[in-house]
Amino acid sequence: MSKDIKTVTVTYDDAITRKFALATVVWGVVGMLAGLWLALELADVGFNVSQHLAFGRLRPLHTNAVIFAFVGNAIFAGVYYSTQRLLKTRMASDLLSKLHFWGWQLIIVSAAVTLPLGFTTSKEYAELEWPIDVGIALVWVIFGVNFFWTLARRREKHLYVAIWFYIASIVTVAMLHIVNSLAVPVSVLKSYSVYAGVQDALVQWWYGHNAVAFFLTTPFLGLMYYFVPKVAQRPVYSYRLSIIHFWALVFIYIWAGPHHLLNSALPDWAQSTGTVFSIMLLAPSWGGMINGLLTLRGAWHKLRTDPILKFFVAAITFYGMSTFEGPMLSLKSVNTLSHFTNWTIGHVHSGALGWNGMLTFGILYWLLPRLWKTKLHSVRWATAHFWMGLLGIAGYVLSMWVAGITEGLMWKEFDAEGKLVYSQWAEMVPALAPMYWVRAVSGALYLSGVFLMVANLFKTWQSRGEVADEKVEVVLPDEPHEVTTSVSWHSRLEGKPLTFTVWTTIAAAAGGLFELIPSMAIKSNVPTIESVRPYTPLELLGRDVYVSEGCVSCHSQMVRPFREETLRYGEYGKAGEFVYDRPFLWGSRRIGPDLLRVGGKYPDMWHYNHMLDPRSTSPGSLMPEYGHLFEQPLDTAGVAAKVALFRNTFDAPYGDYEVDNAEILAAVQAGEIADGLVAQGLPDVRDKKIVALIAYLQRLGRDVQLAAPTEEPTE
Amino acid sequence: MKNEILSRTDLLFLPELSLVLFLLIFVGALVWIFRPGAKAAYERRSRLPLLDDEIES
Ligand code: HEC
Repeated sequence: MSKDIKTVTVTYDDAITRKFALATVVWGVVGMLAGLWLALELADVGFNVSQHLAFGRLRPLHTNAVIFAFVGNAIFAGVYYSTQRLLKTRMASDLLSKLHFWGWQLIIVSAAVTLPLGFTTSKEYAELEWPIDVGIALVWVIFGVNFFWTLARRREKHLYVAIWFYIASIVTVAMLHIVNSLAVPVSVLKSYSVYAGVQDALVQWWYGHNAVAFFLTTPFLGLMYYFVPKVAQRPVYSYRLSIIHFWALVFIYIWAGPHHLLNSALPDWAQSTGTVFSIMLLAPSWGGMINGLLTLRGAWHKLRTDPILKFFVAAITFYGMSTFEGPMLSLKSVNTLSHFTNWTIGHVHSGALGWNGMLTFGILYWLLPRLWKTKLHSVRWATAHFWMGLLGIAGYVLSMWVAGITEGLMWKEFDAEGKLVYSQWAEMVPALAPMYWVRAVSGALYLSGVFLMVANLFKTWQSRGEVADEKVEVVLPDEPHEVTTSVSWHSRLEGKPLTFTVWTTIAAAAGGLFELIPSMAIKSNVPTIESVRPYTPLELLGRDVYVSEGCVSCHSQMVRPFREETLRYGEYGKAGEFVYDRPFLWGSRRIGPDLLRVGGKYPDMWHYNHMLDPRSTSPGSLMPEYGHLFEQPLDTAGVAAKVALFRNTFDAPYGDYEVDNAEILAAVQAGEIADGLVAQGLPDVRDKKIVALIAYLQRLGRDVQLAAPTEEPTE
Repeated sequence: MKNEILSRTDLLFLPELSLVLFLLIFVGALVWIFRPGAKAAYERRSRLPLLDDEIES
């Protein structure tokens, strides 16, 4: 290129990157503190100090804070930094960038307020109620508009592979969030899912799994493809491999959701599709891992001295480990043992602490000193942080493996006479206590590392230079950047963000549509069970209490068709039982026993005593006390509207009589239960929340028990 | 029961069809990616993160 080269000065918006990076640190600490507290609550039930921070309420706060606040802000910091540089242009609109930042923080704060107060949909990682969901959609659109507008104004024709990962993430997250969050509001902070039972389960896990894929994985892969070459000062090992990695992930991930519902009442074909695609995921995931690691070829010696590269290598290795473990857990046979146990918790933490956490720390250590025009305060502290993090994860994952396999086996253990060895749940609880302590200590170690990082970054900030946006000279776009002899199909595609986005969307949507549509189409054909009736008004209110307290964090409502489960709980769960369940409450974790068939198992008085003090009926229980439900008034005023909604919008077969007299019917049923308790010498709770909860618990599984099942479990 | 089976088999071809489509597209993409001549183009592109804050000429 001998001609004069016209250049232009571009000033990148680095203030926005700094903001997001700081928010990452702040929310990371908050989210992990919540996690540590939950770990302590399981190690010792006494840590459930208040209703707002009891396990069921705190768990969604922890998951949301880590996923959307910590990882989310890290994604945005990395995306804003790298996108501007890869496209050689400033973000299209500073205003949109700011709206994005403040909007996102507002959403996080509203989550941090509403979740402890018990406003939740209880759908995992989608717990926020509808007004916040609307807010998320708006902020996401703002981000998307700003991003695509910037793409349109770029000075670099070709989109680097990181940008593709960002595009796929932006488009797919929008789709997932909107489809899964569809709900009909009944009040400012309460809504009911438009899907019921099996459909709700399928949509939720299509979402839940792909939140892992398109929030925790693809954006981070984009960051990996940008920051690893940047820090190692080497181009990515194989650009071709990165293209394959991209398309394969986008095509395959979306299908794998049903592996969260193996051995459940989900139709078999959907379960098998989920398994097949989960196994297939292994190939592109490992391709990506190899590509990331080999990018460091010839730079391995730097690993000894550079903590940032250490963090990167550990992160990529954990990416490989968890994407190996995932497909294994998707095998039906392995899943039989692992599902509902701590094994899953170990799995997600090797992803979250290992892959997302370690990559984020590496990026922060690299990015913030640069943005503050200074050097990192202490490389030794960063190195110490690395080892603390690594040891912390190791202790965490190992203890959860042991805990998961232990409890999975205990649930299944038969004696010589074919009876369950551990027929009482509380007998199994103490076995896990040592592992819960190891986990809490390991988590504390990991978090101490984070505090060390905070101190290190603070010291770094104190020595900052003159903080200003970075200015660079870039070549004007009308100058040909590259002389390509043959213009390949993919390079043309890369030059056209719109076409590219459309294809990505099709790829990502395909799996979802083909899985969701058939299951929606069989809506009216979920084998109906004659005896299954909608909940009474009082039970409906009790179900709301169950949702609000987050009981689903510890209790499943899905008996799987195995001998040990039908023996322990009763008839296995059938699709037709859940047609009035909005949301579905199958759960994903059994810290306590399954409750699908708990109705009628105990007298009302047992529940009364158990909810007031679980240790009084079940010594050693990990369940929090629910004393507040005995004080808070039961609000029956809104129940008529709820019953009407279920009938008019969701076609539940309530008669006019039930809709018109919902409030009275609720009061009558509450009176019956309360009278029974009073007769046994207990205080009168007819107008308290607890009475509705007892009504709901006593209803669970009764419709099917009444139907006198004849079918045999099919193991 | 009959109703249930019928209603399901009706749509069972969808996941299978999409699996076949998926495989075809994927194999197609592989062929394109490994087309001769694409390598030169990838060469520069893979350096993009390293060029981004320097003057390029
Ligand atoms: C921290 C986890 C945890 C939370 C949250 C939790 N439970 Fe429990 N639950 C347990 C454990 C452990 C047991 C087994 C020991 C016992 O009976 O207390 C249990 C047992 C039960 C039982 C007895 C089941 C049986 O078959 O014996 C019921 C009913 C129950 N819980 C209801 C609830 C309700 C309702 C909520 C929400 C208001 C709730 N639980 C929240 C852990 C939890």
